[in-house]
Amino acid sequence: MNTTTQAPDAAAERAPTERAAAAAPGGMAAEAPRKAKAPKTPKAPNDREGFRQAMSWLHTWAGLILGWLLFAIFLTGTLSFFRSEFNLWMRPEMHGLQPMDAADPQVAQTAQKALDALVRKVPDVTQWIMPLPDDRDPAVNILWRDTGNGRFETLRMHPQTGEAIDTRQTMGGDFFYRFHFELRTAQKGRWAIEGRWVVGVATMLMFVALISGVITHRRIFKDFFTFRPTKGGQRAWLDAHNVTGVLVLPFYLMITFSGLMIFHSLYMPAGIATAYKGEKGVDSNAYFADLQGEKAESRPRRGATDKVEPLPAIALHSILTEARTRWDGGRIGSVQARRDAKGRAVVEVTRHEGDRLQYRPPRLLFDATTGQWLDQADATSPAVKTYGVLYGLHMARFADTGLRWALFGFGLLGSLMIATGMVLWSVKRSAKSHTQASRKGAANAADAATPRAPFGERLVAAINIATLAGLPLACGVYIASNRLIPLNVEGRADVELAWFFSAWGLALLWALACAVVRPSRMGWSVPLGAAGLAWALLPVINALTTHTHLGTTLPAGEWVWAGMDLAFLATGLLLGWLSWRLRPGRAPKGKAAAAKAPRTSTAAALPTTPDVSVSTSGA
Amino acid sequence: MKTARADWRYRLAITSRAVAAVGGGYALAAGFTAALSLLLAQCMPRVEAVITATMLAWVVYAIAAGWAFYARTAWGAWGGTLLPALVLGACAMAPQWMKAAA
Repeated sequence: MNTTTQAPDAAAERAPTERAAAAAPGGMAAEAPRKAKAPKTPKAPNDREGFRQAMSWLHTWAGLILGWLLFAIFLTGTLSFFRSEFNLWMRPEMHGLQPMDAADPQVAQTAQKALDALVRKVPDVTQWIMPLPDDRDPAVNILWRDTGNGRFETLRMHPQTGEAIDTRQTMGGDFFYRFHFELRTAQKGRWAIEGRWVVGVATMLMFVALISGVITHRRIFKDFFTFRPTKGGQRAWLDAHNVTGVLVLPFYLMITFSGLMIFHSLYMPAGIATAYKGEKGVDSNAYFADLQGEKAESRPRRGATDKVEPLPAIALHSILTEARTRWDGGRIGSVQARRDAKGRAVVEVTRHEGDRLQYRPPRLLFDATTGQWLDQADATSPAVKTYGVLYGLHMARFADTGLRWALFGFGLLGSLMIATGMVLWSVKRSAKSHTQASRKGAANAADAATPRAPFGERLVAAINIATLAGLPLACGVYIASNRLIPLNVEGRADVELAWFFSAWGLALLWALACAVVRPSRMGWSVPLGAAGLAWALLPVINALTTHTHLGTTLPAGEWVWAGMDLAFLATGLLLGWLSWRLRPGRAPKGKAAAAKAPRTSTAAALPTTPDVSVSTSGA
Repeated sequence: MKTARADWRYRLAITSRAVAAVGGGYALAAGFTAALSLLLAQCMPRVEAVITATMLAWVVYAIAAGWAFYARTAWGAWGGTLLPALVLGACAMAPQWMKAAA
C-alpha cells in the first residue's frame, strides 16, 4: 500500500471504502489518480455506493494477491483441454496407430489381447485399469499394480498386436494437467495435497474476485460492447479487462465453482464429518461410495503393505458384449479388474466419458471368474447428479473437437482477463505515483527528472513479466525439450520438467533485473520474443528430430499431429508479434502513439510526457 | 509523515479484516455446511444433504469474505463471521453433545 492517500485518522478503520475510490475498476477509474489525492468520498456514503466500493477494493486485492498463480492455473488448465493430443504429440513413437471408434465391437478383442500381454508380463497382477483406445488416444494404456495399495505402473500397448510400445519417458500433456490442479513439479508427485490446497485458495479468491467484480460493475451490459483501444493507456486496459471478463463470465463462474466442488472432500469436509459420523468415527468411504452410486464394499480400503490375492484369468469378450447390450450399443470407455472388500474378483466396465455430460460415467460390475453380471453403479439422485454435471463441464471429456476448441478459447480469454487485470493494477499504480511524482517535482526539479516507482510497484511489474511472458516461454521450452533431450537420459521426464522450471526461473531473473533493479524497456519484449521463437521453432525442431513432422503429417491428412505443429507455429507468431509491438524503439512519443493500441507494457499507458514514460518504463 | 500513525493502524485493520475473511469466512462456511448437512439429512439421503450443503457453502464463504471488507469496523468483520460460525457449529455438534449427556 502506498502511504499518500490522506485517509482521515478517524476513518482509518473503514479504509476499504475510502481506498476504493482509488482502486475502483468501475466507472470512476479515469478519475482515480485525482481522487486518490483528495478523496471525495463522503464520510457516510449511501449504502449502495459503499458496498460497491468495498467490493471494488476486495476485487482489486483478491485479484492481485494470487493473480499470478491464477494465471498459471488458468493457462495450464486451458492447455489441458488438449491433454490427450499433447500426450500423443510428445510420444512420436505412437505415430501410425489408427484412431479407433470406441463403438466398434472389435474393441473387445483389443482389450483381451492387451490383458493377455499384461498377464504374461505380470502374472501376479492384483488390479488393473485399462482405458480403451478411442478417437483421441489410439493406444491401449494399462495402469496396473501387483501390490495391495501401491503406486500404479503404466503399460502402453499397440491395439492391434498387443505388443508394448516403447515410448520416450515424458509426462506429456499430463504435466499441464497435474500442474493445473496440484502444482506438480516432478513426475512422481511431491506435495500433491499441499499443492491442491494452494490451488484451492487461489480458486476461492478467483470466485470472490468474480463475484465482487460483477458487483463492482455498474454498467455490465454497456461495458459488454465497450472497447476503446484508441483511447490508450488505462482506459484500454480497463476495457480489455471488462470485455474479457464479461464475455464468457458464465464459463468462469462454472469453471471456478466446479473446481472448488471437485475437491470439496478436501477443501470443505465439514458436511461429511457430521452427516457420515458413525460409532467408529467418520466413514468417508461410505460417502465416496454414495457419491459414485456404488456399494461401499466394492471399493475396499487397504494399507500399503496388505497382501492381495492375484486376479484369476478373465475372459473379457462376453463381459464386454453384455455391457454393450445393456447400454444399448453405447461406447465402452475403460475396463478394470480388482478384488472387492470381500476378496471377490470383479470386473468393472465403464462407459465412454464422451457419452454424456455428467461425470463419472455409469459402470457395470461383473464377476471376474464367471463373467456374470452383478450390479450397476451410477449417481442418480438430483444433487449428486448436479455435482456430476459440474464435474463433467469442468473436465470437458464430453466435448467434440469443435466444442473443445471453443472451450480452449474461453480458457484463453480467462487467462487474458487475469493478465489484463494484473497489468491494469500496474498501469493504474504507476499513473498515480507519476502524478504524485510530478507534483513533488514542481517543488524539486531534480527529483522529477528521475522519478522511481516504489519498490512494491516495481516488484509487481517484474512478477507480471515473469508470469505473463515467462510462463508461455516455459511451456514452449518444455515442449521443445521433449524433442531435444536424448532418449536414454536417466529420469528423462523430470529433466523435461527441469527445462520448464529453468526457463521460468530465467524469465523471473530477467524480469527482476529489468523491472526492479534497472528499469528498462526490454523487460517485456525479450521474454516474449524468446517465447515466440521457442514456439515457432517447435515445428522445425520436430522436423529435425522425428518423422512425424508437417512434411509427412500434412500430406497424409493426419490432423491430430499436424494440428499441433500448426497451433505451435501460430502461438509462436502471436507471441513474436506481441514482442515486436513492445520492442524498445517503439516507445510512445505522445498521446497519438500511446493511443494506437493496448499493449502488454505498462509503459505504453503512462502519461504522455516522453521523459517520464522512458524513465519509469518497465515499472 | 502526518499520516504515519493512521497508516499503521490502517494496515493492521486491513490485515485483521483479511484474516477474518479467510479464517472467519471459512469457519462460517464450514459451520454452515456441517449444520445444513445434518438438517437436510433428516429429509433426504445423506449424500444428497452433504453435496447440497457443500455447494451452498462456497456462496456463503464468498458472502462472508465480502462482509469482512464491507463491515464498518474490523471488529464487525470478525463478529459477523465468527458469531454465526459458532452458532452453526454448536447446532452441528448438538446431537453429539446430547447423546453424550444422555
